[in-house]
Amino acid sequence: MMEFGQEPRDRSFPELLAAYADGELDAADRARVEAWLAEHPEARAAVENQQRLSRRNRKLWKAAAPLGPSESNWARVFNQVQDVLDAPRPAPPAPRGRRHVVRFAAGILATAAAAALAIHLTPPKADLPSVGPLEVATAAEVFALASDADVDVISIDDRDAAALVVGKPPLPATATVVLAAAGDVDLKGVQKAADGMLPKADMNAAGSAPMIIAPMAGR
Amino acid sequence: MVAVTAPPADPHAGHLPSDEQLLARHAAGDRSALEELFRRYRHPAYRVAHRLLGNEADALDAVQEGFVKVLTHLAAFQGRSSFKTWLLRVVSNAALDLGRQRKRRTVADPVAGDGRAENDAGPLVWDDPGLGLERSDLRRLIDAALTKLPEPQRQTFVLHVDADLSYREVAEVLGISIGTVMSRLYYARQKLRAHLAPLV
Repeated sequence: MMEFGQEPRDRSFPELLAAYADGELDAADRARVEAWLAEHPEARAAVENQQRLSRRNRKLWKAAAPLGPSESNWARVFNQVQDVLDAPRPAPPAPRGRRHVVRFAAGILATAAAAALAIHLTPPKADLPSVGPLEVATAAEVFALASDADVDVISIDDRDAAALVVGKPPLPATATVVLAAAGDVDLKGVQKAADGMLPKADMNAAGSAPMIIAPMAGR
Repeated sequence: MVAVTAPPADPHAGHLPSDEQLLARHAAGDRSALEELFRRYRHPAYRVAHRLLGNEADALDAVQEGFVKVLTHLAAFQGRSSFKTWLLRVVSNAALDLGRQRKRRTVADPVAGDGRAENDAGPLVWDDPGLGLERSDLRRLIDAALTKLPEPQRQTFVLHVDADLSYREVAEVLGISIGTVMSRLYYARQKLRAHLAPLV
């Protein structure tokens, strides 16, 4: 059997044969394939394979089609779709950082409302943030905190490792960990948590680096 | 490069409200518009989901999830593709996700059980009365062969054959080039044919 793709000029012929079998080629390409097939009769079997399983073989696909659901099952599905659409929508989640870099263990997370650290989302800022008096943030503007016990780092680029700051949060385990890149946040202020711990934030990292902020014991 | 024929014209054009009109009516609170959209696309969505999942219950779950996701994210859709191709993209992805989560139920080989197909000499075709192949058996054999394909080939093949999408539409649904559609279909069929050769 002819091995397609051995000749550079013929590299597209497998694709062309599929389209030929499906009737998806225009007249010029159809003629091109037919001329090529006339010179390569050994490729006829491949064309036949394509044609047998082409969607143009309506008889086959009609016979192999699944039986449709009953009208009562359709009605049930439609009603469920409608119920979901009619249900009140939850508030959109807070923005997240590069979740592909760090993955979480099941875990502990802090409610935004209880967070001791308020970080306001603003456009990226080049300079290191200063830590000043706490500004009151709305719930939607507050990032949750995570500790090193809350996350499993599955993989991370070396250049990002220094940006990870983890610690022990003094917060209840309720909400969702939110990761932010350093460039995503502008630190407006922090305050000590009830146990006297202060958070540490590494904002030196590149704007795309992941950042987890949590109070660090003894800092 | 390869030119492909244009997709067929919308058979509903000029006779029934367009998808865009139905979506606008749905957004305005017209519940009948949603039902009409659902009726219009439930069958291709179901065929795709069923072929990828192999059973009605899971397929209906994928269809439901697809409609919900599409209709709750209409702002992300509008103007970027047709409703049909977007829905089929979401449904097929939902079906693949469900399949991974639930582990596809084992597809029994109804013919190999008695060795009939394996041992028959000579060419056999699926509608050969002598073979006695039932419609459901044929479907299960094709479904089983499809599970042996890499996921991108399987999704491409099913969208083309079961949703009756043109190459251009499949490319749009999957965000790939038409050449990639051609290539995936070619190799998918070659592999399917190797598995189904005595029957199809």
